[in-house]
Amino acid sequence: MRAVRQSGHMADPRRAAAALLLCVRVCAGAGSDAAPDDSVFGAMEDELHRSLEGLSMVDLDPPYFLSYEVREHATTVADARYDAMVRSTSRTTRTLGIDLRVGDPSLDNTNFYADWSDAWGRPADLVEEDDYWALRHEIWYRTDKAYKAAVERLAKKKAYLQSHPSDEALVDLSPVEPCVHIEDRQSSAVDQGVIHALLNTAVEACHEVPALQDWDVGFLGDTETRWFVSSEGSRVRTVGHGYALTVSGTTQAHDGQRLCAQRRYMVPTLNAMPTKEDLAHDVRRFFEELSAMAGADLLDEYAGPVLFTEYAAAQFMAGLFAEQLTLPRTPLVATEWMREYFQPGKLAGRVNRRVLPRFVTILDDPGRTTWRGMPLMGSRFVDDQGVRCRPFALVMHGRLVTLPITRSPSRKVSEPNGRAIKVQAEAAVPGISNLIVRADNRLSRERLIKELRRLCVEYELEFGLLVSQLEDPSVGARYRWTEARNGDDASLLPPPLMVYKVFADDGRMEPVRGLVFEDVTIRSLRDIVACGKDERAYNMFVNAGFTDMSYPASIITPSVLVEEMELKSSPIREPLPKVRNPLFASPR
Amino acid sequence: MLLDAMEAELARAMETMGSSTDVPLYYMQYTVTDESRFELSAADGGFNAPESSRLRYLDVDIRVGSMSLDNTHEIRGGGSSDNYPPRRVVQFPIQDEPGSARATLWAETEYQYHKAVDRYSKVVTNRQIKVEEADKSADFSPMPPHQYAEVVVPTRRDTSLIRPIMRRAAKYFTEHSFVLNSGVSFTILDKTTYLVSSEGHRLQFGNRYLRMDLTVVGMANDGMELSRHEGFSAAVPEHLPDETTVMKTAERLVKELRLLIDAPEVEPYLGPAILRSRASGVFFHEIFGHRVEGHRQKRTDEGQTFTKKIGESILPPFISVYDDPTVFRHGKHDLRGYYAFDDEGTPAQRVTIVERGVLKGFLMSRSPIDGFPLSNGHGRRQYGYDVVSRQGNLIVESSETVPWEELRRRLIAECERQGKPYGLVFEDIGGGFTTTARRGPQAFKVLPLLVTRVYTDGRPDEIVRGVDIVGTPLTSFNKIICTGDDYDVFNGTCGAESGMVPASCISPSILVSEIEVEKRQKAQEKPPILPPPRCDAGGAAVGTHG
Repeated sequence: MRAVRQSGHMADPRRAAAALLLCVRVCAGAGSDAAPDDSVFGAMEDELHRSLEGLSMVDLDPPYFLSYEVREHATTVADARYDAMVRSTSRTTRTLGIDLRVGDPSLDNTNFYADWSDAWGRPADLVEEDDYWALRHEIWYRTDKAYKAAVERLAKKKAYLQSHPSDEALVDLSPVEPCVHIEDRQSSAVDQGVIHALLNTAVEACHEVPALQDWDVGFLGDTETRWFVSSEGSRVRTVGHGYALTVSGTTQAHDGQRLCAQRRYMVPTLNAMPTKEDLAHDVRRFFEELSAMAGADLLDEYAGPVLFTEYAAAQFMAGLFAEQLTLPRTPLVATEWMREYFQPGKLAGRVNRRVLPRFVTILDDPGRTTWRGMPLMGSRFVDDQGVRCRPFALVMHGRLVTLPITRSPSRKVSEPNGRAIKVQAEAAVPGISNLIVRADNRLSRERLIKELRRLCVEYELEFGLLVSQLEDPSVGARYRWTEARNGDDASLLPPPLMVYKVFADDGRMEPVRGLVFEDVTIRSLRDIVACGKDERAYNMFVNAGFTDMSYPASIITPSVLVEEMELKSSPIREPLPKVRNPLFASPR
Repeated sequence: MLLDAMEAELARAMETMGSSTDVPLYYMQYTVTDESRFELSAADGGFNAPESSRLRYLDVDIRVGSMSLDNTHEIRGGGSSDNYPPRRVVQFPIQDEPGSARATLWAETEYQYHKAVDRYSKVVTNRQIKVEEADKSADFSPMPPHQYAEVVVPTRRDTSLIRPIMRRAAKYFTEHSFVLNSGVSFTILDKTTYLVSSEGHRLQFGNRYLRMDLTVVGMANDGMELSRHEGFSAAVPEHLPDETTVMKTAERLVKELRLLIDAPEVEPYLGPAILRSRASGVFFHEIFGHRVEGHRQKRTDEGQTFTKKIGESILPPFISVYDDPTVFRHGKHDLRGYYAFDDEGTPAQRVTIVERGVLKGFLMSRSPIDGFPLSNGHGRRQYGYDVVSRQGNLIVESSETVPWEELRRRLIAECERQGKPYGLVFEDIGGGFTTTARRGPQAFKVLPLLVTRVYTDGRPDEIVRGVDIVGTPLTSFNKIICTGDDYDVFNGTCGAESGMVPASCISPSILVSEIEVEKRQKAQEKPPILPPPRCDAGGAAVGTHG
């Protein structure tokens, strides 16, 4: 039949990604035995042993390392738009990831991409019934393909290295202790009544904000069961849960500027969701603030101190710090066009250098499960390569001392530290868990604002800026009619959304709008001149690097005051509605 | 409730936008597609979890300007995005809640209106700077309003009967070592369309699409991936195959796969061939049907193979071709191409395309072409796309038919006449593609799944593999010599500019004096190194690996 043109889609791409990686894998209590009746383990292990013994071709090496990872996701999705449900589904999916290596740990088929499929190959679907023979059959078929691809890629890699000699003496696979950890399988059932109550509460709260033109509420519940076995003897079964309630909305200023905002509640247990009263209050307050922003004055440009508070502080640390730790080891890439996709994060090469002021220390603690009673989404017990996660300091007194790392060592960090994440791709990338930003000299909110005003006086400015939320790029793409993006795609920070002028003379605050950051670099981290006493934890999605996917993590940070940043105006405007929204067409 | 809300919001939008001082809106249509899906599948002997969903999608069609020139007019010389907008999928409330339904309609109307106004200005400019158009027909045709309400009864999701049948077939496949992958699936799609327009259409109609598919995949020693597939379509569960039929089909597919794996690869060939009825149906759908879709006669980037051939002989005089979406069933087969109304609210109609070899008409949506000012109920789309004219049930009829044995005898006779040692019989075709646009070669490629070589010297027939049918349309249809009396149905899903739509073709087998086949691209991988685990463990698997 005739070829079909590829489709555009209004669906939120990040939500799709989230569906496959939302769960928190904390140690939920080891099972009482080694899961002898688990047919998934049985199929994985039996096929692993058979493959290691039998897979070889004439003049070609057999595998020296093989691991299988099976992920089962039982997801419940419910979406509402305006005041009605648009989707309510539950489904189960299973995927098989294979890490098959030929050669030896010093030089194998990994860390080299000859073409697109090497880098972006997705885990294969796996039959979902616990049928030992069906599982083995599918694992067998895909292992055969993985082996042939591995030997071919190793040959290409060797040829590439002959024509592109490198003095980088890094091994491809670091040794680790095998990890044996079995958790009990758990039910994935989600109370539909609870889901619908959350959705109803959120949509009713949105409905009470007349300036909102459009709003969506989405619920995603996910139970992940993960099996991992390796030829080194690792044997892991973990069970994790994750729940996200996402409330998005849009309004327009009188000049056509569209303001889009999103509030996301991510928790590892359903009962950690906000109460009905808290949710209604928070959603209403959030969109009323957005409405106020739509009525604010435009600001054409700004250069001066910026105070990031609340969620904006976490977004600041995510964009300029957490997401800049990626790809500490750039893989070898055979084709020039692919090289741009494998750029290391801006901080990846700065180990042992000062990247923040001396009064800031940053920890990454996967073992912490709560922060002042709030459950954290970054908690992990074992990473996606079967390595136990352990806490460490990333930054000590302003100096970057290490990086999250997988089993692929980098020049600066060689020992795996349990931070490998596989996000819808075969290759593991390093990521953070629970990032905790600590400052020695912490100021109260009043002192922070006073400091902001002092800087304004010093720079001879009438006012400084306070930013409490940045725009979520995915929500902008959802509501904007124009294909043009608000702000620079390459910017390390998305445009500010909730922005206030703080006047130097009397400290009064006025909302402003229409700004995007200009030329943001990691230099802004060093330009932090003060931090607040108001550490707050935020569960959020963090970009994983080249896979263009995100993973759940937690960032605990105080407000941060940056000495100087530059912002410019955003030119994007859209026509105002010709007809009034029927929900608000008549007096209520 | 839903139709009332759609009408109310449409009236409100027309009142404001229809009197706009910028560019007046002259036509609006709201379409809500309600799809309830269920899928149960097994892969390599194990089941996947059943999946079910219910979703609604909204399409808002807005026309500004006038019927003679509106925003849908072709932008000549424009890029692909100028004339083929990307798909836009808009989810619609599944709860019958009028406020949210109307708000969703309002938001999408605002978006589509501004897009329409923007495009209309480009259309006007484009017309001013380009040469005069050859086809000066209008952009939209009038249509009297229709009111119709049909409730699609939801298909029962009880799988207690079909699940054991699927299990048995799935397990049977795994008993054969040369079957590398196998699948059995059962799907239900209950679809209801709600449509209102500013002309007064108020329609609710739909269909039920049930399907069972069996697939086996293997590999020849030279690395060629081979597959056999059979699909059963029905509109009600009672019309699905029983266990005996399913198992006989499974056995046939496995047998054919084994024969294909051992079969020789065919060299490029030009000579006589028979396309068995279902294969012939696909052949006509791809090569002929797409070229008689109305919009292809008007668009300047189309090849317009048949545009100027009305009244001319384009097929042998014993062949007539119709498209009749009003036919619900043919023989034992429910037809997927059935529908009561098209996606512009026009009642489905039987259209005579070719009568005794002479071209009589085209498949028309509400986009007129020279000499065909009105729709004949073939404007179709998948939600999210713009409507274009499409096929429904394409029916090839022959006034000169012979029994299969006689057709086969005539194939051999034709081979002997041409001095060919053998002819080919295409038993099954998986699909194909054809380029109708001017920018590429206006040729076709059809992908046979099962091909048999019939020798003139009396040797037994031999299954062969690794060929695709290629050609150009005008030449190909002149080569039809004779047809069989074995009408059969191909039920499938057709993809084109307006997305995937269910379609059927009914055709007898056809004997052609000359068909060209070329070698198929194939993978270069060796078969798996290790035997399937069931065989290696001394399990029940039978047969010899690859």
